[in-house]
Amino acid sequence: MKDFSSLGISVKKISQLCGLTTPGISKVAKRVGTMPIDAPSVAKYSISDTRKITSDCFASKHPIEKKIHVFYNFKGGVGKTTMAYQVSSHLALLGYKVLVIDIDPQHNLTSSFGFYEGVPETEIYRAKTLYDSVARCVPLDQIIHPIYEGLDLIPSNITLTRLESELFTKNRREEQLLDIIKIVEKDYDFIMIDASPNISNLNLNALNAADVVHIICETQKYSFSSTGILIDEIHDFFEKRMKKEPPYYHIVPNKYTGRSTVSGEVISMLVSVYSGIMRPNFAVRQSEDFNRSNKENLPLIFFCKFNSPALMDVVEFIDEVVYISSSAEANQKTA
Amino acid sequence: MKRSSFVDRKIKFREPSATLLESVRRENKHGRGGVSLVMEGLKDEIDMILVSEIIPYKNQARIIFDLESISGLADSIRSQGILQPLLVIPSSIESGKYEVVSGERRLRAAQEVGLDRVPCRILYSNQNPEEIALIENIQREDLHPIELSEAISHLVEKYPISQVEISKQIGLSKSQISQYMAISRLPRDIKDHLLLKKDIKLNKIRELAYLKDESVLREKVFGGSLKSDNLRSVVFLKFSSCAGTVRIDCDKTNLLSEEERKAFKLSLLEILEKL
Repeated sequence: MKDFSSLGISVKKISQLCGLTTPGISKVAKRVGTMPIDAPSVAKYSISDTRKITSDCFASKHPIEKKIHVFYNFKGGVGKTTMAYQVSSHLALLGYKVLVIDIDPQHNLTSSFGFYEGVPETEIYRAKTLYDSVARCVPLDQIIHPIYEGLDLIPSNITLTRLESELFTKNRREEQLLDIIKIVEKDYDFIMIDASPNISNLNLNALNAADVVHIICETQKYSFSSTGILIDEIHDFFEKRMKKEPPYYHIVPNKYTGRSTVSGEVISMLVSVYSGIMRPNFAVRQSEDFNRSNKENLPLIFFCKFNSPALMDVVEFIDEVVYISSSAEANQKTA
Repeated sequence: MKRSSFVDRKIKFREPSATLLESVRRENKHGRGGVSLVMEGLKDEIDMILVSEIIPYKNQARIIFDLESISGLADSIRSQGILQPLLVIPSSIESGKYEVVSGERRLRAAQEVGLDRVPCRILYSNQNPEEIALIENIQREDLHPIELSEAISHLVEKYPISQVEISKQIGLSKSQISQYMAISRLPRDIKDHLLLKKDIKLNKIRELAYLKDESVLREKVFGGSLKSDNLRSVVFLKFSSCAGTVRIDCDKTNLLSEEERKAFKLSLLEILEKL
């Protein structure tokens, strides 16, 4: 497990996260009674204090209706896990209570949170995952682990693959995950699920549980084609098999670079077809900061520069997530 | 919460190449050009815009259209219609019209087929309408260089618009824009003085704007290097004699100032005395 207790966040970064001014944040900090950590040059706030500030000026002002979010694409390598990692880590820092569920047996998201730091490779499979709760009736509190304040994780490892065949034996095989989530839903503002890059019973469980599906796609040709195929498949699933309304689709173009002509062409095509479910004028840009974040198992805000495009893009992605997840009246009021 | 972009990512929307559009269409199992059937439900997001109301995007590099490929595209449009909506923005040059950001080829093919309207997605930019109006004014009027420099610096100060963006909108180069910015930084009284000179050349003003030493600058402006007025010598009274006839040319006496007139009268009286 990774230790986040010594880490701090500067006022400037907090203000960037919340979209407020630095003096504004300082005022809130005083009002909620927090004290900065003595840092050499810049005053920083602990995660706990940061959350006191942000829950006052952000989370409490934007209550969440659509809680269950799934990051899905059957195309691998598009950046699903990276985005799930950044969005959930920073949502927790914004004052929300977030539960992350890793349903990819490759457990990349679990590793990003430093969950297996110090654990030898051979012992990773011992950790209890969703498999144990669904098949072996292990109580949920034994598989939910705190990462830092506001962020809890249900980890995954290779044993999760056993869940696939287990699900075939059950009635209502696509509804098992939702049953589990319903037990803990009231304790959280957000439940973020990272799916594996394929179409499986487990992933269909995730889709069935979802309020919002984030389809991360690269601004590349094959990614564009598969997005169309994917949405059709998901739609078929809800219309013909589950016979219920599909969740909200949100398409996120990732790894955009202005230097590539293909990137520009594909994003034109994406916008011309899907602009109704994409944030206007938005794409997550390619940035080395994401790679560094994955390598060091540290969310962007803890190490990146103030004007990092990666952090800017994540903050804007989160703005869209909160917008989509808020009630219609709430959006009317703050418009 | 404001749901608009926080930062200008300078996303370059490029016209998809014909091969890309074609290969994407072939791969999709429904053969619908990569467009998910589900998106049919979002059809109300697509506007059918009259072909006559769509003009080329002014900033797009000139695309040389291969007539054969346009015909090929026209054939497929005849049988399947336009599968990918065009991407347009409301025009800032001609109001009521739209500039096509992506879809020039489809537009031309549609014209060949004889379609009235084409499906479009309207991309609304983050630009403020005041900003647009200001830029249009700059483009239309025959402005004094000082006035132009003020307008440009006003744009930069008031709106979050970069100099590069302005250069694209107005049609001046980036270096020209920065020259105008330098000019706008001249002291107020100098700018007012220069404004009065209608014929002053941009070169001259630019030279002045780049002078580091303010005293040298003031010397040049007020001290007489722009000296066209001071040493002007005007012939205002002409006597000529030709074959015994004396001709008097005194039209330009009205160019004289009060003091000059008085001095002239005095001089004339002296001359009369002598005669």
